[in-house]
Amino acid sequence: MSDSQFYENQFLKLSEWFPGAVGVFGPLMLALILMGVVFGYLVAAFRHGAGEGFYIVAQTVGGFFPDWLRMSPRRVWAIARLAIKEAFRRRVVMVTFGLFALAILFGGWFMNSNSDHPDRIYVNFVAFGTQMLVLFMGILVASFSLPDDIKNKTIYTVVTKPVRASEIVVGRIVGFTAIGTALLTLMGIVSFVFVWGGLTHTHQIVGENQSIASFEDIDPTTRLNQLGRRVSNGAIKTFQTTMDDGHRHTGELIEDIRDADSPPMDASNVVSKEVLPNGQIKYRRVIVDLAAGHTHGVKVSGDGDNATITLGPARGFFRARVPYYSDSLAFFEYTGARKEGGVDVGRELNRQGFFDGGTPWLPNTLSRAEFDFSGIVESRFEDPNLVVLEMNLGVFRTTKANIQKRVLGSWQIESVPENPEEGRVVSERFTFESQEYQTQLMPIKRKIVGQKTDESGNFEPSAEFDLFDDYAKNGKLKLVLRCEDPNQYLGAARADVYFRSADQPYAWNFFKSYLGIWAQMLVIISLGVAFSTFLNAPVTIVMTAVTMLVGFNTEFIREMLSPDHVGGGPLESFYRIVTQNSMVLELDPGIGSTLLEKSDQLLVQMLASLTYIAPNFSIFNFSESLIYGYDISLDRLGVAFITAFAFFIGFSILGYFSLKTREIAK
Amino acid sequence: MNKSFVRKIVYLVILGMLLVPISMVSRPSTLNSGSGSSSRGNSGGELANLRVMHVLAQEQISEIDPASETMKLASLGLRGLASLLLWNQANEQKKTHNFEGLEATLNLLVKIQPNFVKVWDFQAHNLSYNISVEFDDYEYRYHWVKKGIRFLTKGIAFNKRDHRITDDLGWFTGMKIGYSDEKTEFRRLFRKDRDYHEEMAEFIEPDSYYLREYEYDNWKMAYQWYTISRNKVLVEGNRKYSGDLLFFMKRPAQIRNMAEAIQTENRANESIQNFWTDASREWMEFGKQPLTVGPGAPITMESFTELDERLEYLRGQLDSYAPGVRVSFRNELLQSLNISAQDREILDRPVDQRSDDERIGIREIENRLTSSQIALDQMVLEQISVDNRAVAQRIFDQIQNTISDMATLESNNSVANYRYWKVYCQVESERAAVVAHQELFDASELQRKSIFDDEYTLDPKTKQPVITQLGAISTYEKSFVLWNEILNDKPILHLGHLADNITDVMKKYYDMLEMTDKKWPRHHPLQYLVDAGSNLNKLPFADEVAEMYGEEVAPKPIPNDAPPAVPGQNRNQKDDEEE
Repeated sequence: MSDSQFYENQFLKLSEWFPGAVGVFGPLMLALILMGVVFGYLVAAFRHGAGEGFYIVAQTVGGFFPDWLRMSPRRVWAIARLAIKEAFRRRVVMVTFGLFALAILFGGWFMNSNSDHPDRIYVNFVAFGTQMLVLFMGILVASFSLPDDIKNKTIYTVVTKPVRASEIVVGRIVGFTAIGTALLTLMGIVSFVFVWGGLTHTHQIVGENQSIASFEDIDPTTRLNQLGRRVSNGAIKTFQTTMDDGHRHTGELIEDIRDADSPPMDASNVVSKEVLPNGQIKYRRVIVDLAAGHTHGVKVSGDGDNATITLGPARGFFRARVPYYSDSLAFFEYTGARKEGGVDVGRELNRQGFFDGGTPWLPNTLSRAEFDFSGIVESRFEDPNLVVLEMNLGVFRTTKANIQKRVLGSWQIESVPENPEEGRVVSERFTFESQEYQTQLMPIKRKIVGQKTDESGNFEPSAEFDLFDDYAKNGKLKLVLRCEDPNQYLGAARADVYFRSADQPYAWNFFKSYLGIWAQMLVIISLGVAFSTFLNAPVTIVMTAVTMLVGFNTEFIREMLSPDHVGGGPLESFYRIVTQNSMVLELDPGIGSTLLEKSDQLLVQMLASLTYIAPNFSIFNFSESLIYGYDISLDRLGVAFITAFAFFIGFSILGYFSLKTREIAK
Repeated sequence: MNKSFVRKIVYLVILGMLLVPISMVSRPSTLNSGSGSSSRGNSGGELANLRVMHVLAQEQISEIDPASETMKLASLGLRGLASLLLWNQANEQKKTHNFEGLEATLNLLVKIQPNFVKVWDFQAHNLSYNISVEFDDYEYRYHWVKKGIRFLTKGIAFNKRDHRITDDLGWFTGMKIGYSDEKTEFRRLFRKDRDYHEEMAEFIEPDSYYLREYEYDNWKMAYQWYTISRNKVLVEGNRKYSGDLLFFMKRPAQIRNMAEAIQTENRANESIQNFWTDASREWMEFGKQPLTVGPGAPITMESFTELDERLEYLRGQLDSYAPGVRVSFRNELLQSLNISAQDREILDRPVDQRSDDERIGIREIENRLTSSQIALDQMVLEQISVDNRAVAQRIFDQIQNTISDMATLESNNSVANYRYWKVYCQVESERAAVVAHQELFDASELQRKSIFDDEYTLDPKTKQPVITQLGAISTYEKSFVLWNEILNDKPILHLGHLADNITDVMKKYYDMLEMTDKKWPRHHPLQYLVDAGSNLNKLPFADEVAEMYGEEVAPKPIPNDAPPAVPGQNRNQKDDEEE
């Protein structure tokens, strides 16, 4: 699945998707049924004459409803049991699990232990491995079953029993799916243990003892730690952890001065606290820096400099974040005019729009990105007093500027009143240092200083306003991001900025991602069984595999139809490869190039038509969410299940008709 | 008998027959083991022999890695296709900024094609150069530069006879860490990166590039990588993939870069002077290295003098058979060329005492003279009596060969810039340069602290101001005087790297003068560097200086005659007006 498709799928809403899907699927099914009837009639007419053919078709179609309505779950299960036994007899299931076991045993050879995100490597490995093995197992068991039965004439032992064609087809799909489900469950459990066991680790502090006494002072002139890296604001001492699992962390003892009513989010790492004369509290906290995509919680036992510091398990690996995305994102250029898609800074992947920080001569730029949220209500957040905003911003520098400093940005929130005459509440701007390729956490306090506009639009004096009662009074909220560094740009896409609710359990998310594989397996088995009713086993395997490949590459195939697609279709591309012709150069005009172009159009059109018959597998693929640590929403699960069942029913019907037209099942 | 059965039997027989030549061609070699050592027993089939001949046998080019072999087997002979797919996937991941994915893909890719050096080279460059700059934070950039280097080190075991990977490692470690925009930050991180140095200890002993107070140095490590490359070729006798000049010049250049980087970052001292001495020695050793740079015998970069002397000797020998002929022909020629007195003076000076612009200025005349010299040799030869002609002809041929060697040497010198760096390293390794650098460093520190002017107290007895501390301007001027003493008899250094560095400092000095409302000195000790420099230089050229002081004609100051500015007596506008 492509990156952009992943982000697009993040916004998928079942309620919005369903009407559109019915709009496509309904007519498509009708067209296919009509085509099937016409084709069936033509074949029957050819074999038995026009009148007889009509009669046969009418009888077959007419028999459909009674056959399906009288389908017996008991008989379906009986067939399913036979299918399960058969699958075991073929040893495909054992071989699949054996391959999986081998992959798990020796997978470590091929995994990069120095990766910045070992969690992603681990999860990707097991999810992709499981997906491929289960799907190929599905193809194999589904493709060989019926053709072999027909070839060996063992099918007659079934069809001579009081069993319907629909039950034979559905029973096999159910049986193979059941065996696949058992296998997938087993693989899921092993995978989870493999990932969990492989990533679980902790570290110790380097030094004579596990306390602040082992920490080193920070040179106040350089503000660098012992590795020559910059330290956080407020850091007074640093430490290093032991090297475990191919990485080590650095950490800091920071002095964090806060108002009495806003204690730190994590109190477990507080070593000491001191009340200052102005009433504020100075907390001394131990924090662990990010390394290999995670950090560690800190537990402090005792008090002061002799307190024992213990590092907890990794934080950031096993998470299922629940993001609340904005409904829309709008960019504005330096004049304040709307800029569709933001500034294009020339990146090959144009996912993010960019907004500038003005120039030294035009510091008051009106460039900004505005995110419009709705449904911002107290109940959606774990702690309404401290709402978490997460950002994954891009950075683009037009000048080198000060390399030591990161590009500055700011955020601001505004109310979005229903009635424009009603006064707006606008918060002050909060500046932050951008951290490209890192998720930035921005805790937002419930009470935020801002200004309200009066009837004439003028700002009233600053005051504290409540996030839910004033800013998001009607549930709507506008978040404005700006770049605060002249000559530099910040970039964002809709999926990059969101409010975060309480995380879902990781195991549940892992399970959901395997449900996605299950849905794929159901589709593949349905396809295989349906194809096997009228094709022999090798052809069924090829057909199912091709349909699966088309399903995996739906976007790419549809993209080839686009006039912007460079390099032409498959034939033209092949010609270019052989002749070492550039993708962007026009071919010399002539009969040859026209022929290539037209043949490609035909081929691509055929492939594109296939993409509407084969399911778009990206809607079943939840592994990206699991890898990036996002919760797989029930909406996405719903879409996947509805699609999978629609294909299951569609292909069952196809298999039924196909079987009915063969002598054996009459 | 069934026809189909017969056909199958025939096919089987053909298959069996085909196995015989295949087995003969691809029979593997076997080893005889005994008395603790292994020796090749059976040389194997034709393919095995060819592998040995071209050093392609797996045990010869790499260590056997189970993961790599598994991948090769698993791709079932479709290695090419698998690597193509992975290559495309890597490109796509780079495009979508999925860098972790890219790294994982590259690890698979090199397991399939581990002996393809260009794959290591290209993708390591991708990681260290193209991907590292995608990150805004320099710490992440450094992290990705290291990833590229680490990636390359994995390729060493698979290509143990090939020096290109260690060459690249030298290049990345030296140039990417020590020469990029973020060099200050990268070098600082490198110095402290103990984990990385421990990791690299598998290849290079960390102590070999640990410089006590200056800690770990990337240039010295690059030097060690180039040393490994050099050993692969010179000691192990493996194939060399680049020309002699480029292959041998990189290693000594790293010590020079090291000395310069440390000097830029620190106040000059005896240790740094020693680094320069090392740099000078290394460069001179390179000068003595025989280089095969074309057809004919190998040359050395130091052979300029030798060739000059040889040419002079041979011409003397030739002239002895026709005394006075050459002198009279040359005088006729010079008259016909109408050469100015100044150019004549340059021509009469030895080559290494000419500055770059002087060389450029008289290049055309020299070319004509050189070609005329060859013509003169011919003319002299023609004047020699028939009795001596055979001996003279042999001398003439030797002259031709020597001239050809000199031309080759000159073109190679323009690549290595040998003579410039030789003089440069020698100058820097002298005590005078240490003092001059110290003054520059001090001046720069004073400027950073915004102490531009001298600080005075009033002597209670004499009622005269007494300087208590020199300001940045005076300290710079003091250093310029010292630099003038170093450079004025080294015209080769008046243009190039050192001159650029000093003019950069002069720009800072000029900015300070402007800030403190002072004028550029009428006789700046290093004015000749400014005048020899680029027109883009914002410093005032001699003509502008003259105009600044109200002179109509600005005579070009001659370096040795220019009176140095007196330290501690800053010239301000008022002083100059009084003058």
